[in-house]
Amino acid sequence: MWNLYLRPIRDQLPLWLLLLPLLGMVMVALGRRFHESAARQTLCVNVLTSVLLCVWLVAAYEPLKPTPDREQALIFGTVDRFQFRSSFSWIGESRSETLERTLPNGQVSSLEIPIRWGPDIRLEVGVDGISLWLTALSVLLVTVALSVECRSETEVPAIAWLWLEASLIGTFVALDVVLFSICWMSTLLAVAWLMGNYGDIQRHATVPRLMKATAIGVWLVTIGLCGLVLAFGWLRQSPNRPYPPLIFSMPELIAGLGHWTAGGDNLILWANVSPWLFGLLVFGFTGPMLLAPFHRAFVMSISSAPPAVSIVLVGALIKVGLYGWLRFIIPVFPDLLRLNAEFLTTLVGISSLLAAVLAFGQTHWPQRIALATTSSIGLSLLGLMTFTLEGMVGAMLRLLSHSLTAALLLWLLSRSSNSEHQPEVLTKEPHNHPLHNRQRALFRLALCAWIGLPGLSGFVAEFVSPFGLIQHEFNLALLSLTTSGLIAWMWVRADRDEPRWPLTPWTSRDWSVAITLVGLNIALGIAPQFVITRIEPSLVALLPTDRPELTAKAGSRAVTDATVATRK
Amino acid sequence: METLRTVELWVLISTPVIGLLLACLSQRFTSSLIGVRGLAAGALLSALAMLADVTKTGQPIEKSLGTWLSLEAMPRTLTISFGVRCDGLALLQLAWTAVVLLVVLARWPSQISLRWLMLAWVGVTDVVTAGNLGQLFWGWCLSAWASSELARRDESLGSESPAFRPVWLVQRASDALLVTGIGLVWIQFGSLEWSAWTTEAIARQRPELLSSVALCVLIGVIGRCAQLPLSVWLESETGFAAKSNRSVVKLSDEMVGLWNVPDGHQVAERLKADPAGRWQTDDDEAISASVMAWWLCAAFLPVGIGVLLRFEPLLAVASNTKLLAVAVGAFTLMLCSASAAAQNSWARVVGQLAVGQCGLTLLTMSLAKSDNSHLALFMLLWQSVFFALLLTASVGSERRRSGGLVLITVLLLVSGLWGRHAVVAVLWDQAFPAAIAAVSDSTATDAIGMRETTDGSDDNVVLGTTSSGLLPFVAGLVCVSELLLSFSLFRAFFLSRRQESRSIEHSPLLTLRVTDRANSNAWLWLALVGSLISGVWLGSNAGLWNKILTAGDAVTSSVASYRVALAFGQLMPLSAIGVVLAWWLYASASALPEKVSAKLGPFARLSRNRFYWNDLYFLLVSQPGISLGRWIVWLDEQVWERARQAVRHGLARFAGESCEPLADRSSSVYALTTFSSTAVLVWMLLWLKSSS
Repeated sequence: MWNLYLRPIRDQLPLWLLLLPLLGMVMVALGRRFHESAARQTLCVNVLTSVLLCVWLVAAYEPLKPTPDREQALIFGTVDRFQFRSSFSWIGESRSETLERTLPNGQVSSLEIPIRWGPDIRLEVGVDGISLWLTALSVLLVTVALSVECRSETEVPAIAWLWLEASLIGTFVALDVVLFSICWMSTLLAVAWLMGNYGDIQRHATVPRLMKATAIGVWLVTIGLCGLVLAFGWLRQSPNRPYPPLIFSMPELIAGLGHWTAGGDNLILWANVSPWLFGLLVFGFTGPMLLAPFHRAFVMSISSAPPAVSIVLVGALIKVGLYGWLRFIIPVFPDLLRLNAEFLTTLVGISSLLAAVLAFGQTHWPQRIALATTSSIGLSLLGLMTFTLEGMVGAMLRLLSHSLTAALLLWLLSRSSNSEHQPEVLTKEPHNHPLHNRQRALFRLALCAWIGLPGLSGFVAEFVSPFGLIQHEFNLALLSLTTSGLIAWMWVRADRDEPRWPLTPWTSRDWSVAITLVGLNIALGIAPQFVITRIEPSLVALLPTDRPELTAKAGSRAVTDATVATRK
Repeated sequence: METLRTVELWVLISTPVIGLLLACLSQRFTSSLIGVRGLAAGALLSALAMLADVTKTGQPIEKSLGTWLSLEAMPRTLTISFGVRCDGLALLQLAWTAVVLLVVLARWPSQISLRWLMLAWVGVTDVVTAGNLGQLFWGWCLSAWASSELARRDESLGSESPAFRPVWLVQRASDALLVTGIGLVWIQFGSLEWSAWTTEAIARQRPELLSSVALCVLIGVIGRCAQLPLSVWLESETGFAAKSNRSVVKLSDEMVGLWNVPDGHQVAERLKADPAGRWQTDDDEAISASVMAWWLCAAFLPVGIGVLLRFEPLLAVASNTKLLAVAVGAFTLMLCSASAAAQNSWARVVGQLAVGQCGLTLLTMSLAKSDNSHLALFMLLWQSVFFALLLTASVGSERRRSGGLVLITVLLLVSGLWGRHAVVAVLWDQAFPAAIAAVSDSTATDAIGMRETTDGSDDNVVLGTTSSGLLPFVAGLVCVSELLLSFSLFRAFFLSRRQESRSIEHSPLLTLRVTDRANSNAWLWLALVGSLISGVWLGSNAGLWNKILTAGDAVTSSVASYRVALAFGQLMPLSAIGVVLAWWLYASASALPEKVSAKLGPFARLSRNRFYWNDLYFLLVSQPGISLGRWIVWLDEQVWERARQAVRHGLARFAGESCEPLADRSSSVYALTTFSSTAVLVWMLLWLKSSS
């Protein structure tokens, strides 16, 4: 049974995760023909199945799985970073390719690999230690958001939500440049549709602003990635082979650029092209993060979006930019990044501090959360720019912790905002009602987790990040700690304006969401090693290999002396 | 024997966790307090038994409990293991924490949850027994956070206590500095384990980097121990400046005290009409005295000093940092002692004095002589128990029956027997070595238990030379603060008695918020007798005390010659003068306070109350911070946003009709942008390719 039914699913879990919401869209559309409750039940079953698959994916991922093929190990490293890969032809033509490798003793060995001619665009998915957690986060946050949506008796836009879920998962599991861009754009469109239809009265102003800020970033990224594909093709040009195939697959593209830019005949070309591509990708990925002082669109969106959309926007969507940094900018442009590190880190550090100061002056909870999110994302980006393992791990942990905490806060706030329609209930509520105390306790736990108190998720990030930042630049560490301190001060001040909690009894769905989010927050604080073990090899693979002591342990990029050449 | 040791270890580390679990799960456990007292007693007995064992063998007891975090891919690994490392200092601190816990529980207010207290106990145990710096930081943050939450958990107030936020924020600032110091240690030594700090490893490091580490740790400890300028908490709503329509100009008027101004003074008349100017009971305080006792005597001050002792090898080579520690300690001692003399409740008087005495500890530890730390720690621990007793005895309905206990405790504190006079003798020797050498003979030194010669040739790393003028100045401050300490304690004693007698006259049945608990006085007496016996035993046996502290290499090295801690010193006359002065001013009818205050003028005002510093902070730091935040928000919303809109519209108008979508937010702009940028990119790439 395992080999017949379960193994095929297990080996292609990211693909199933991507297909399940798409399948759900059809099912919900069919269910809605009978009754709204049937559509809701279909939605619930679909989402819960996605959660189960996601848990399976996390459990099944092997962080130190060796690369099955020795020859592939020379190119991609000794650790099989991208696992559960599924690849289907989309646009292009198959043909085998011979790769030549020059050994240290001067001998040349050749390797036949299947490769595609023309635009090698494929429907290719898979996960590594980075996208694994972002995928899991997306599924979790969509589930939490849907629990908010399902509170009301009105019709749930189930198809749009499943579309959003599929797009988000696709963004993170995509291993093809074109698929990634399409999924990201699709995510933005789904969010815009949900906000435009269900947002508050300000939505007509906020949706175009948000779209403008993020969509321009997506287009810049698309152009930059196409440029990267073109440039990689030109790098491999030789007199024998004037038109090498274009490679759109992310692992091959990144690994190939890593090797080809280390040495080769066309390095002058790369030296001329790379600053432009670097600029495009930096602007493209950083723009949609909406860092201060370009935060207005984000702040307004969080205020006017439906609570459920806010959860996904804050928890997952705005972090695609960080994912892009990890996936493309850091591994492809390490030298340029280091060259501009001082300038970029100063800008991002000041931006984070500015967002924290702005949050300090706010009086509305959604705006506080939005600005604190902007600040937190800036700090995560700062950690990535340090080029240290500690800084990167700290950034990833901060990203995960922030998503869990912000989701809990927004979920609780969505309860309080629902109660605004029941003022007569609020006026009669006693101060120390058990329901009150429960929600207050959860609320404070979320704030404490954001601030970074021991035993909660934020503490690990706050503890690990300074080690990377101090290695990179001491003043940067101080700036980061000041920003964190200011955010902590802001939350303690904000705690005084505690929202008014309703006396609506909790349903089993509410209990499930609260226990899950609180449990994950505590679990990440108490046992972070479970996450770190899975992230670490993927992050080590991103680090530059020019430090000799690093190469000894890094493993995944152990073969640096191999020169790979293509031959017609 | 090994089995017994294992059992003791597990009892020691599991009792706080069990207490926390029971406090969270069982209502009965929190209401009766018998269980938590049993746990504290168990922890105390285990700590004492293990202390005897460790002192005998000289080896620490260590146990690894697992890895919390590990990043091993890089050459410089970052590994945080959770484990227990019980050396003499750790066990002593744990025993003392258990004693303070028992004292505090004797009058624990029923409206404050035990959960946070138990969590704070877990944190203190963690920081004290930490096997590495990462675990130490974990416990440091946990104990500070949970202890701070005790201030907020006073549900009967109906809202957040005004003391919560300031203490919470200062502790977070202290956390940030400590983690910076730990990060620098990791960068320098490549490890967070204690074993990485060998003498050779320290000698290899650059001095300025070691100074940076020491400075970060010191500031962290200063925040934790409420030393100046972090002696009071940011942004207190009960302070003057937080009220509306106040300004710096009126601040000095507000600080005029009830007793320090002659009759007829307009401000004094107003203050006399204000009940807040009279002697306060615990019921009127924002923070319960029991919580204050836990903060000052277990979670904040001893933990901070303990961490400083752990970092002693690094501090030893950072002379500038030590100089800063001396200055901070001396000024904290002086200002807090002066402030204590003008406070209106036991909690505030004892709070100021405890922080001031912590300053004396810091000062003593920072001076070069190697046995100073031992004396300072003895003084801190024993005085902490007495301060905890005073704070606890002053609350609850049974406080009227605790008069004898309070008097004995005050006398014990004023006597200075418990290390203070020995510490002062050390300072005196270093400040006036020539005079001591000329005047004192062997008889005099033997009388106070000195076993070493005072030839004045000690290596005074802090001040560079023994002829520096700072040490006599510091010695002078210590003398004045000694007088102020005895004056403050007896003044508080007389005023509280007067208040109690008035209360009985006017309202024999006082309504108290604190739950009565049977036999609570018995626990206080037990703690007093226990600490007295142990103090006499260890204080008069310098060899044993030294052996306990150096067991398991808790402190860098064992000292060859040492002083007896239990000693009378030359400052007894000053203490006596303070007592007599307090009696004259507050126990007998006298118009002297008004006269003295009229003569002192602004100085009397300055020493009025601790909220002076709060208000100063509020006016200089908090208020500008808040204003800046609001101003930047205004700038963002009104200027930046409008400017952007104006630029956009202007650009559209300038470009003409074809670019109107820019202003109209039409989606066609995206198509235009994409098309043009793609064309530009292709052209640019082709051009670059051809040029290369």
